Amino acid sequence: MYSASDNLVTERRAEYLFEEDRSDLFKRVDKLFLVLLYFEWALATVIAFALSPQTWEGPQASVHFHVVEAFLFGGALISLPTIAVIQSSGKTLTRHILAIAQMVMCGLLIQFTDGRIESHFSIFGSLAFLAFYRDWKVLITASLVVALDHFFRGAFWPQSVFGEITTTPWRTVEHTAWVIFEDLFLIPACLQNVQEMRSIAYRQALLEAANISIQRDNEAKMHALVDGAVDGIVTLDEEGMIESLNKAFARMFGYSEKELLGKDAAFLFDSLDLKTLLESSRTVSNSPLEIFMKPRAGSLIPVEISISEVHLNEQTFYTAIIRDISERKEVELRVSEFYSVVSHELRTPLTSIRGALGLVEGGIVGDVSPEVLELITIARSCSDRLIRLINDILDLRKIEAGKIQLRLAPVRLSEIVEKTVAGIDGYSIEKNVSVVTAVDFDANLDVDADRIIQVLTNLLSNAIKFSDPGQTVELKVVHTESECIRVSVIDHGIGMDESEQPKLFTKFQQLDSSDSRKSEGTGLGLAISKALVENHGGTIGFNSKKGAGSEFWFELPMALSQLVPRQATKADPDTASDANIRNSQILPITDSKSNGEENKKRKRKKRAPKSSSSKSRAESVKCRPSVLIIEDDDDTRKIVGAQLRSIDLECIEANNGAVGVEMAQSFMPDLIVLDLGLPQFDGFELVSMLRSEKVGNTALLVYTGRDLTYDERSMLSLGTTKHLTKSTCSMNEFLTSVKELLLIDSSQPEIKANAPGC
Amino acid sequence: MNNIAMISATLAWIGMIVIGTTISATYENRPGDQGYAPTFAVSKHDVEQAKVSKTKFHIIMFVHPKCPCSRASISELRNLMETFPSLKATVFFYKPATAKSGWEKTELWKTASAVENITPQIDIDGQKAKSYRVVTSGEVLLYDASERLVFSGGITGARGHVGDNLGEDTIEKILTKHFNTAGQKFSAPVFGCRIMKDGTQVCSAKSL
Repeated sequence: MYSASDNLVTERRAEYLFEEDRSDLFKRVDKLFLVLLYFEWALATVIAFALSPQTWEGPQASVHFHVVEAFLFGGALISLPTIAVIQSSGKTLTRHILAIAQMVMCGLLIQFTDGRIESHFSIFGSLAFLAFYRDWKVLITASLVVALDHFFRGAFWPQSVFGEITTTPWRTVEHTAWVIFEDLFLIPACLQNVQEMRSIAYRQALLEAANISIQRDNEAKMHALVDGAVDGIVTLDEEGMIESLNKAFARMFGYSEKELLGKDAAFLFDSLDLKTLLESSRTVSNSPLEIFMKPRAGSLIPVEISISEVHLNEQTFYTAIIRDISERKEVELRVSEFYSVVSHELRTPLTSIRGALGLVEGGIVGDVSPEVLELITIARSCSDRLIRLINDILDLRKIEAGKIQLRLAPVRLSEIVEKTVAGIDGYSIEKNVSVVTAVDFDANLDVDADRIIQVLTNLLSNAIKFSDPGQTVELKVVHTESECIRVSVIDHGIGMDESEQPKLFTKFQQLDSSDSRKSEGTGLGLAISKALVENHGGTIGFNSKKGAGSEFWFELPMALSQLVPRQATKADPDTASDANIRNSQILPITDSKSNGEENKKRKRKKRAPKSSSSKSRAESVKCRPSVLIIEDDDDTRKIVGAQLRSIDLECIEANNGAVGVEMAQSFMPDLIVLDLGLPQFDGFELVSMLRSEKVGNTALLVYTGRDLTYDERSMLSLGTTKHLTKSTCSMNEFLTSVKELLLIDSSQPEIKANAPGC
Repeated sequence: MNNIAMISATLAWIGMIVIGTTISATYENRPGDQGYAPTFAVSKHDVEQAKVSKTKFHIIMFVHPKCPCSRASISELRNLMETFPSLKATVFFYKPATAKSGWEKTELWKTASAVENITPQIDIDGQKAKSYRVVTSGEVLLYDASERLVFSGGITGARGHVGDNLGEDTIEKILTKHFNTAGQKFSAPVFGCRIMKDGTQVCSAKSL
């Protein structure tokens, strides 16, 4: 709703806009007329020169008067209009000067054409052109010039204006009447145009007023929104000076708004280079950064900052939205600690259960009846499933939190394949499904071997799970045209409906098979596999048809790998240690497949205890290598001890950090098996203390329920060191690692425990 | 430039326009010098066609071939010849004796040559013009069958202007017997370049 004062403002604005538009119009038409006059001057000079360049007196010639007249008189005629347009364009006098000049030009044209009646149309054309000014007074001036020109010429030189020697004054009156006739149309048109210009200016003023009102409302709303925001919002110029800020920003750092306005914001960013940070917002995607900022009082506060570049009136500004994430960080820390504790507290007893059951199942503690053995097998299998479920949930949590850390290290593709196949061997035997590998080449991969093995194990176990007994699962590795290593797992099982396929890689999805066989598993395996492969920069996918089996594959970019001849793998001493795995599992695709009976035989054979006859280098020095087990959980400690004794090692046990340090110094063991969550000194402190002792170079096997980060692994090292996670490594892997660290030949003695999938 | 200066400049400029326009109009309407043409033709041969012509008159015209103003004179002569098809005319084109061959063959020569009953002739050093006491290009002399001069002057209204004019109007009236030529000699102002610098026994047209 407009008030009277608003109306007055609008009217003044309308008048201003009208005058401004009119002035622009005058200036524009002034320039047009000046151009026209110059054109006419040049044309007159050229025509005069072309038609009568010289005048003669006998044999002598001189420049013709017409040329001189056209050039000099024409030049004099346009001199004042030129000055007027340059100095006073848009002014009233300028318009009238231009009108006079134009009409004189018309008079000269009529004179030079001997008063031809056609040339009189130039007058009408010029009047119409002058109407562009939308100023009727200009038309009056122009008409007056025409009338005077006709009057004087008609009186003294009638031929120059009417083309006749003699004429009457009425001829002048007649011509003037025609000019007035045209004016009668042009003047009302000018007045109407002016009225329309006023109307347009008024509407524009109204529109501007409405826009200003809306803009003010929006600004007020925006101001309220910005000031009410929980996050701090600040605008900086190119130099990092604070242009504007909201209350939350000032509050966050303990300053008043006045104290911060116009200041260099660099002091808030602690040691960070603000300009580099601002520059980076141009090149890096606008994703938030987590940094520390410096408040007026207290310690640095963690914040999440999003910076965006804004261009306004040819100036560059940066808008930063800053969120205090202190609480979030604290919660994350607590959650992380919680997961750490939970993982440790769950995995430790489960590992003990599995280990104990494995020992009984493996016959370490003596023969048991077949009925008891079957029950033990069921219990061990269930503990495996439980461990897998916990591992999957913890993995998923890490993936979702973006905290999964890949431990990239060079590893041979063949090694990954062999370890995976070896790991799945028990399960394939149990399900009576053969696993056939076809690897045409080997490659050095720069990947997290454990994670890739986890992915491949998941695909293989799924393939086995959905295959019928007696069927074959193929594992193929090829080099694709797109410079990738493609690992495919092909089964000939039940396959999938197209309707089921889209949800395959989503969490907690388990596809029901048509034969109503309920598959065991968490439904997280493929989701985790997908995340792991993508974290490696690879892709994962599948092809499946109902009743015709499935092919699951993943590709890793060649940038991560380097092709090497297949023979090189065979000659590699590092990978040649596990000859048993290689000989039994890495087969050409055309080789004979192991059938179910053979698998069962192998399984029985592996379960039979075997006496140790190791002649390793360690044994040549010492009769029995000694291992110090530092583990606070009594059950785990006992089971680990039993396992180590089963391969003829001498075990010393410590149930806390202090005892562990004392025993390490006293007994000088060959290997220390260390848990981390210990009373008195934890694992980190213990390692730190031992590092400076004589036992500083002792082999160390960190065996913990926690998932260690890269930094933590670096901190936990003595001599030759290996890190194993209790729930994810099998007992086989544990014992193999122990023997590696003690430099005992892995093929001797055979590991007594058997825990497929452990 | 302030307002007063601008207004003063404008007034001066308007004055300049008035003066310039006046000079221009004056120049256009100022006749050239005109001499006393001989009452009888200098050479019978020049006007012999008058006797055989149905009109019983013969026109002699003197033209400077490079005079732009004479374009209008030739044009008016052509109109006259078209109006009176039996009228004969001889046009003498001035040519300096030292000029190269073809100097006189200008657009005016070609226009005149193209008109029936006009005979263009070269007038070396203006000897013929001198003999007829003609000094201004475009001057026409009209002789009757008795070789007597009945009209002398121009046939354009102003310098280089085509259209109604006193000379052509007079000739038409003589040829259509509207004017009695017995014992009378008519004249009109002539507009054009000077055929030669030093005309002999020239007197102004105003004195006629």
